[in-house]
Amino acid sequence: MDAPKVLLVDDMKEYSETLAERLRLRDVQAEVASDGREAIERIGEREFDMVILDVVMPEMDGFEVLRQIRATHPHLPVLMLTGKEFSIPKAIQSMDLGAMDYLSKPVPLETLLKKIGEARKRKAALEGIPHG
Amino acid sequence: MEMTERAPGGRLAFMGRMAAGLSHEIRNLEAVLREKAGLIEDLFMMGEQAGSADVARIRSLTKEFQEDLNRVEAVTRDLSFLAHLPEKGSTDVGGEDLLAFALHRSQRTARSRGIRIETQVEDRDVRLPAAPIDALAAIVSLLESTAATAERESSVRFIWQETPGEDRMALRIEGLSKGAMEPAAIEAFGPDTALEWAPDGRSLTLSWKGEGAGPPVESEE
Repeated sequence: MDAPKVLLVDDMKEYSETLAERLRLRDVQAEVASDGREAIERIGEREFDMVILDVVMPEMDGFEVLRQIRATHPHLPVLMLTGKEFSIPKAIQSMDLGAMDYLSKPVPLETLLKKIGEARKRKAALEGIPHG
Repeated sequence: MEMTERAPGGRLAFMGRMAAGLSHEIRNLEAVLREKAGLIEDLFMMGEQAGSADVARIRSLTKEFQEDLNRVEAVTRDLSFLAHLPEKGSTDVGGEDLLAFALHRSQRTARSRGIRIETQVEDRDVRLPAAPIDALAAIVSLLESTAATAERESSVRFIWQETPGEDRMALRIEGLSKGAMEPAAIEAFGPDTALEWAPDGRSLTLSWKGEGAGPPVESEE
């Protein structure tokens, strides 16, 4: 099985780059994007198994980015991360928009690795379904 | 001057919004520090397995750790400044302190749009246009609006000054996008503040009488 490909989207680059470095040490191909626009461009250019998306970003927030991803990549698993207090309405909003989960930072690396594994299975299963 | 009638939602809403922003920043820095600590641990563990650790990377991470802690200290200093501001009178706080706080709060948006905001104090005895908490709300609103509306990749300067020959204090903003400033950001300064746009529409001066603000805000306890 080839290495999972993950895109980390966060305007706090220090966070996403450090997390990406830790994931790479565990054989995950992790890339970073510092805003929604860059993320959408990257997703259009290459295939990812999962997107880890910060909710609070200037200009285009995580919900708007998620909406745009869903329009072009309906099966791409997206995990929403927030630096704010966990909020049930925001979690529901994320799920309604098609996110696989909504978690508060900092997330233990083991949890993230587990989510990456789940995302790959989920994506493979969804892409196996013939389009109606 | 009563800012409660001018600031959307009043003082309490402003304090709450600022405190929420500051706590968000602390949480983000906490997440960064945790990941860096985890990375140091990863590098040590891998070093043990391989027989030698990436000492240069570990050293640079510990240096970054110190810098991040300095940022945590700066945010907690802002939080403390905010918490004690309602107790202060207009002569207890300098305009530069308010400008520095507002600059920190608008930096994230400004950075994301490539805008450099500089502050300059030509007159250190500047009197505020209102009680410190109200003046801060107005200045934060002004900087947030500037960060959101100034041209991308531009430089904006905020300058505290005394208007020569007149008993007026002023805050001049240079480098704005032509005529761009959200009306609410200006209204927050209240009716006693005079506005003057430069003919090219890229510089705005807000001025008010030099005797400055009203009495300190009374505690609501």
